[in-house]
Amino acid sequence: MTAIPHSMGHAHDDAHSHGHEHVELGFIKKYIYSCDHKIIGIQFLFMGLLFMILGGLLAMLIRWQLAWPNSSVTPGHPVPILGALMGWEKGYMPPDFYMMVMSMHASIMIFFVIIVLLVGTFGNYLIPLKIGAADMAFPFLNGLAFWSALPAGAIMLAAFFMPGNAASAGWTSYPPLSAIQYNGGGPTPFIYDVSKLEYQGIGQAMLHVVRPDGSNWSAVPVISQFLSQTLFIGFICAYYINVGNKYANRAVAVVLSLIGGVIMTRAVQHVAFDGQSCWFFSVFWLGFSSLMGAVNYLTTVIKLRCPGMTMFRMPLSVWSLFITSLLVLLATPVLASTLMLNLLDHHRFTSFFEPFNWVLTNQIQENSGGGYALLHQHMFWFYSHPAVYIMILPAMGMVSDILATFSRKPIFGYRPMVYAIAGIAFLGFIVWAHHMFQSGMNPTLGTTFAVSTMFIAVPSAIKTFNWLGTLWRGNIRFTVPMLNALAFVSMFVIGGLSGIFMASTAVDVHIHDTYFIVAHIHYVLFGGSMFGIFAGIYYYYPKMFGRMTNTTLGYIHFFLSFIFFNGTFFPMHILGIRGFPRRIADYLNYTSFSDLHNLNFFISMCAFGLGVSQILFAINFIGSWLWGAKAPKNPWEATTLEWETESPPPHGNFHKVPVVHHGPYEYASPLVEEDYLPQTRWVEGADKLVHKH
Amino acid sequence: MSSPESRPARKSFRACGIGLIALFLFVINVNSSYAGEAPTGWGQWWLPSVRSAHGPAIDSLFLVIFWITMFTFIAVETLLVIFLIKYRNRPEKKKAYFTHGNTKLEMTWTILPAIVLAVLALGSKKVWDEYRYSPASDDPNRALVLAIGQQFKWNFVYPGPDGKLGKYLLFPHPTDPKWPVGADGKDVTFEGVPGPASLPYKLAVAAINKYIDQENPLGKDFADPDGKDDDWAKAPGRGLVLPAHRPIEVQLSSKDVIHDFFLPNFRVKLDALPGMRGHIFFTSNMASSERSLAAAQTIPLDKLSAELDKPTSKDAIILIDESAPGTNNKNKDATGWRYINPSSPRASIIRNGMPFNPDPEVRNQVIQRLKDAGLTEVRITTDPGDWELVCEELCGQGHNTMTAVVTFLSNEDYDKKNLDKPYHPTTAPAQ
Repeated sequence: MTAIPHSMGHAHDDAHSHGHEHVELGFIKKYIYSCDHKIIGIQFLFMGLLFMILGGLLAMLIRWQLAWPNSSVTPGHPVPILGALMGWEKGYMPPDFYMMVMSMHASIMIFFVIIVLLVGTFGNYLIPLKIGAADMAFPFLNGLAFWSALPAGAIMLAAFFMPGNAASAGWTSYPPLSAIQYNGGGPTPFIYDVSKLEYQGIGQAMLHVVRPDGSNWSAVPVISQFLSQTLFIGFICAYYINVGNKYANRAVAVVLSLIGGVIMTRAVQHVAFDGQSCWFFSVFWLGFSSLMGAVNYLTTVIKLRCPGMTMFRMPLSVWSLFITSLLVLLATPVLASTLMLNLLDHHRFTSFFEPFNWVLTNQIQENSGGGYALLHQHMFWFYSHPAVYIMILPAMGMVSDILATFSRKPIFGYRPMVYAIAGIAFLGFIVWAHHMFQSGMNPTLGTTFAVSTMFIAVPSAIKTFNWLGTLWRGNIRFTVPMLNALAFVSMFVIGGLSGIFMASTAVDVHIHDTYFIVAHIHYVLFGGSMFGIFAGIYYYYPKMFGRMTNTTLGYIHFFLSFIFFNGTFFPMHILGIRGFPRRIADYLNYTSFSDLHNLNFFISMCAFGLGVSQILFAINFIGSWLWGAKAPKNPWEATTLEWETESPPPHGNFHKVPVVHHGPYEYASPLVEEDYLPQTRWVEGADKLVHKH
Repeated sequence: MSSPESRPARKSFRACGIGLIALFLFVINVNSSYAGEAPTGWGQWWLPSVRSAHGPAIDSLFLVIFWITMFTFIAVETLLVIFLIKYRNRPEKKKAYFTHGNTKLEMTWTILPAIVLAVLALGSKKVWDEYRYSPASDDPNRALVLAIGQQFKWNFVYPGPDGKLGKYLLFPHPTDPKWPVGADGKDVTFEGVPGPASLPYKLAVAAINKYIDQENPLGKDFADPDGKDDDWAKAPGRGLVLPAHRPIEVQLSSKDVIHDFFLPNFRVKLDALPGMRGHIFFTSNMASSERSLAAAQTIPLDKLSAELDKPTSKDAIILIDESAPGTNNKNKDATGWRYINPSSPRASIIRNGMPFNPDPEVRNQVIQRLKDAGLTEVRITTDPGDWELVCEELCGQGHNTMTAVVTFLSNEDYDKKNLDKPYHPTTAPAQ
């Protein structure tokens, strides 16, 4: 507690947790450099949604290319706007650009959208509210987690402005491909030309301050990097500079953060000099943000539960976020180490992953020597397989809450649900090499991982059946969040079942690296996580912004998304069964796959539909904020603690420390007249009803 | 107890559903009316035909998993829909059924999937071991080929009549005092020096690059006696030729980045890693000529000309009956038509590698010649019988062009090419 700077510290002492309203925060510390978990959660929400727009547009480009591949069989179709801007011949997308688009779509969606939205947004927003805490255990660290994520995002975006464009070695960045530096070949993209435009006079002079000689960075990424780094350092200064006088504090903080911004910006440019090094460094940096968040969530859940809130009275969303944080904490350092080793290989010509006699275009490579390319895959998947669960468990938790709320029925088998989450987390650490069955590793190792992978389907099955059990004999209300949660359940079933195919080493021989895998990952990450995120946003929107969302728009958005989602990704199973390879800019090069052109065209049309339907979500999101009806405390008649406080909750969350008397899902309780029994309402014998069976 | 969703909301819920289904149908309609230059039709939607000995086992396992998951999928989604309809919120309904779970039921749906999945895991172990630890790995008769990937083409190295591969992917280093010995077994002077170490570091690297590019792109060890008769080429991009009906070992490696060796019809896939040597074993059940023949239709010689005028016959191949007298004595005639003798004893393939009917006069000459040889009918196919090698690991910007033509020859024809030791099936080890 002592580490918490300023007056914030007192707020989290149990004795003072309701007595901090006298603290008057200025606008900046209240809404921008806030240490309040709700503001930070919403900041993460905006960050995630903005990146989602970019990631979605990249997905549209992928589908554009696959609908009209430019090949000997068909001419391409000029890419609107971008084709002319980039100066492509006839406006057709070149294959190297496709590789970049595909890599960046995956990287942005995984690292900057799903993880940021699920763990950053909902982890921050929900954990203290649902366990009755005033804030996180380490509010400053929490703020730092957000402000350090910004430079990571800026580095990832800067890659688009680099010569040679952004990373194009896939989101897995397998070396030796990812160790190859951009060598200056190929056409220079227009976006780079534009960004090379220099400011004149004073602007140019200022640019020289933040850009070292020989930097590849053009004006736009340098400025955005400088801003994000200054904001990041500024956050630290805002809480740690204390020279006595309020105005002196501000002056010193501003000066220090500007200096820090300059130093950091220059340093980043030395580390990241082409698309791939930007990628490594950005994800490496983002890992620290994740770690700070994870430490915070774990400590908060363990230490700051309100009176009566035992571990087994926590809502499943808190349980899943708790276990997710454990996964983040244990897995992310491994990713960070492999990224750093890769960055050294890429930048300093070390050879952690590059073998002896590594020859590229008949040139012996400087970093050829003794490395082991499979090692990266092991280290990468040791993080990235748990990361798959990091990207689905929080959604599972929220969906459990939402299903119970709108079925008006307790969750079916609460404890098995908790054990299933724990089981998934444990097994999640010993299945990583199922991504590598055809990678050339020892085939016997493949069998080992096939067995553990098969068994991870068991806890997933338990969860699915328990969700069905929750709906059974319920009193189901088809609200917008409920529909999205139901979509989660039904789509996760498909994603889970298709996973069994690739868990089998032998069947994986045929479908590995085909569109079957693409279909599977999108059924889990879009059909699962994204619908979970939509459900969460629609469900908690009234709490976050104090406004109700528009129901009709919500329905239209849901149905369009659901139909177009299936239209996009279901046919990909068929492509995969045919052996249709992923990551191919032009499948018409292969006569074996040219008959699948119409199916690809259909998929692309559905994908465009899916993309366009998200505009409705944006309209709903912004419109409801401006014109939505005021939200009551508990619009969904739910039982958990966050609905016991105002919408949006005040600073410190609760006016009085809540006291919990029973489990989180007491809907339809026979003890009360209403069909829901809030956790804070004491009724004789309510906590005894849990283990009746 | 009123639901937060009011009546109008429920109406709009239904209207949205109906409207959106209509929109979906519209999209399908737009798609079907699309008339591009692209291949028409929806293509083939299932596993590609299987041509390897181990493939059917993989396919059966696929089907077992397919039906188990399909059953689960239909059961779960049906239950979900039934529950959603049956237990929807109705005005007269006050409360849901109050229960926190049922231990017996939950045990059932934990243990049942666990058993099914354990069986699947064991089944897949069996099929996997048959593929990766194939008995062919001990078969002295297996044909051997080394596939070395590089951006964005394949190198194929055959062991030659001695059946042994030499050493490859050994490149000189700037500190080596001598260049690797040349093909004649003598020391080599390259760039005027006996070895790269005689040059300053930067020049040594440049000399090595030149050496690799000009002399030895595959890093072959010329001193190795096993490699003396290997069939290899400096330039990548040769097609892959393999024998059918005989165990094959493909060794995989790479010069630069990770590539992948995938033959969809043979259910064979493995990454080619730089610095490592992968091994896959399989047996093809079909030669390329057999595939061509199987896809052919019989055309009377009188109607051949008309048939060739059809646009679908642009890439047609004519198969002729070799048992007819006078057809098998020439490989090439004055008109430039090429005769390839494939493995089938009863068929020859004629193709000119160009659009098939460039000049009606030439075509008529050929047809006349076939008639003179006593033929009354020929078989015609558009299937050249070659398979495509697919690279499924992202290997760089030309990844989508990384393919190779794979031809399977009969054992006799393969032996004639001297790519490997002669095939003596009788020497197969007793099982």
